[in-house]
Amino acid sequence: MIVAEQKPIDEILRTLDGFKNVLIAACGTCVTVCMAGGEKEALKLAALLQMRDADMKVSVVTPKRQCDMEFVEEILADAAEHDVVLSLGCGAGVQFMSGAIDNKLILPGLNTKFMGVTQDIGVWAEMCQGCGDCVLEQTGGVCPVTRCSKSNFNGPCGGSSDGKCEIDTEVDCGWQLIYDRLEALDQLQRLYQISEPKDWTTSRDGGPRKVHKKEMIL
Amino acid sequence: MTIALVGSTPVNVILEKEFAAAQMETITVKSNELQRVSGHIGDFRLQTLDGERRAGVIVVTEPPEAKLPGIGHALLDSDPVSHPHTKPVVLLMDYEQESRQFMTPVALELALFLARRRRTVFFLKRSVKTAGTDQERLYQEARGAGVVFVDYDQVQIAETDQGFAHVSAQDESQSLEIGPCSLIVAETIHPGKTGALADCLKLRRDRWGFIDEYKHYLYPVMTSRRGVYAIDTLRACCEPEYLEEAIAAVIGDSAEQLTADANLLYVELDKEKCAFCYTCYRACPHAALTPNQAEAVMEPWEEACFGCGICVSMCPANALQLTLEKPAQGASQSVQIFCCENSGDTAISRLQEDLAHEGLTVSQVSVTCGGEITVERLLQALRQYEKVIAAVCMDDACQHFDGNRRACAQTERAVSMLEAAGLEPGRIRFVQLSQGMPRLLHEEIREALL
Repeated sequence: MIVAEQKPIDEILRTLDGFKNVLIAACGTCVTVCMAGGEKEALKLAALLQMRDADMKVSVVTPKRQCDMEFVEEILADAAEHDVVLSLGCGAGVQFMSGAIDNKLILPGLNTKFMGVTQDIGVWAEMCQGCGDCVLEQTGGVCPVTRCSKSNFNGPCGGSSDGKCEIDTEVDCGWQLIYDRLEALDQLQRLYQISEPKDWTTSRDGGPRKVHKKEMIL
Repeated sequence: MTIALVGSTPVNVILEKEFAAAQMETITVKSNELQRVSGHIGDFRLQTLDGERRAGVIVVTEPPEAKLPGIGHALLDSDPVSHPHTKPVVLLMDYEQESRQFMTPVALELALFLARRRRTVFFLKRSVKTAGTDQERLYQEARGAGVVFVDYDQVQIAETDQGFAHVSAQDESQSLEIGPCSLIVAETIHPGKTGALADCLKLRRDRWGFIDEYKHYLYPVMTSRRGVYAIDTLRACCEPEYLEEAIAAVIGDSAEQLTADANLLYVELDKEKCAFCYTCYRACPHAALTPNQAEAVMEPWEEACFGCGICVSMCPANALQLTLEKPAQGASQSVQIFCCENSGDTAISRLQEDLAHEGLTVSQVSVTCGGEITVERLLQALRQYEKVIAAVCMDDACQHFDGNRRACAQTERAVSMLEAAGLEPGRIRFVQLSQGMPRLLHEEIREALL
């Protein structure tokens, strides 16, 4: 799931400065689940905006996703009636909406953070950076790219102490997690193999990426 | 109706007999064979290793584990109570955390009994539960009869001749040596298997891991889930009258629940909006939501729902609504107050005359639980009213376990949003109180209006 966080209220208010007729577009999938941009969050913002300025016209729509045309089409008529759209979708949603609604400014209401998992009610953790070349089979299912602060590939750095990372005592050392997991699985031999320098062109370094699933494309 | 007894203890024999006398059939499910429980009162499905069993009501009889506090060899004199010798008796209550409530009166009564027979009695305690009916009287009588109460931090036990003990206890500044003496060691009790069982049954546990049973507003056997009862079989061994009350409570409460008029206040789900995120499932204190895998939506069980509104306030997709929204009462244009019906509601009803006398009017919204109060509700109210007050239960007093804390968190978020938007944060006020604290609410209302 894509995990995001709402922008600070004052920043959102600054970006909306001057607009009197605002459509808040929540998104009903990832950012609903991570409680950043679902209908509830949109209603809170709408109430706040109207408290500040009773004359402001604020509406809320919640397409199921902002990253698929069919769902965005459902809100095109609403968008046409407003001066600006505040999108509570992830960065992908904001851009997709910008492409679909070409005569309106689509403002971002969230900071998109990472791909992650739900750890508890209200707690999400980063698990994948989308490097495009998964190595989890070597590391017992713990990602060295994401879970090690330095994305080391051949063991921990000198900053690992008592299982924690030097950047923050709250952060687990990714390589400690990898070692513990492989030890528990009796698979430590997987660490004997030295990893060659990683080819990062499959990641962001290769520029914007696309996936073509050829059998689906005519 | 069928009652599933989960756990197998000697008490089950008594329960089977008593329930049979009340025309209730019982089945027994061993706690380690129970895998999953779904359904609601009247229609529970228990997935066991032998297949599915069905029951209308579940009674947990699995006892917590009793353990001696790491000094097991110290039970030296097996019967210091009737033994004719004149050595002192030490009652050792070696609890790291508060003991369970019933242990204190048992120990106090024993101390009193011995002291009245002219024995020298030391009552050594680290941390015992002291609140409870009649305990103050017992304590005073025991002191009057000469029982010496000693708090300590550390204790050492040594064995002496003829089965007596030597006890040395220390706190920060002093040490106490008693010996040779007879020693009576209280058991310490751990949740044991009841912890895993609570997770399986989706029951709330207290901070020590026990299935919650000492909430003063519940029957002693009630749990967080309607139709699931927990009988403390360890306690039943010490207090026969407790077992009688417990059986009567199970029979009485389940009959009442099953024949009650339709539950009018419960949650409804908008399937279109549900993101199937499991937030409500995790947050509901009463296990009233169940996943419908076929449709990929959550489904509320009307029969299990208490209408506390916690899931409504937590649902990120705004997919849950309560069936009844109580209308606001009172003509105020300036202050709206959200009152939990277990605290603020009663408190404000006791204030009506005083408020009328002072010419103070508020608009009052009654909520089933503070957990119903959300940021957007508070902000919406502020569009109409100058100030909003949330009046919810005290810490540890929420009948829905954490609705008051959730109300606190929601209020704090709403206040921070006001601050960030350059609006007056003092427009939202938060107060925790009990039914008997109308004065506190009076002050809040006065301050809000002035």
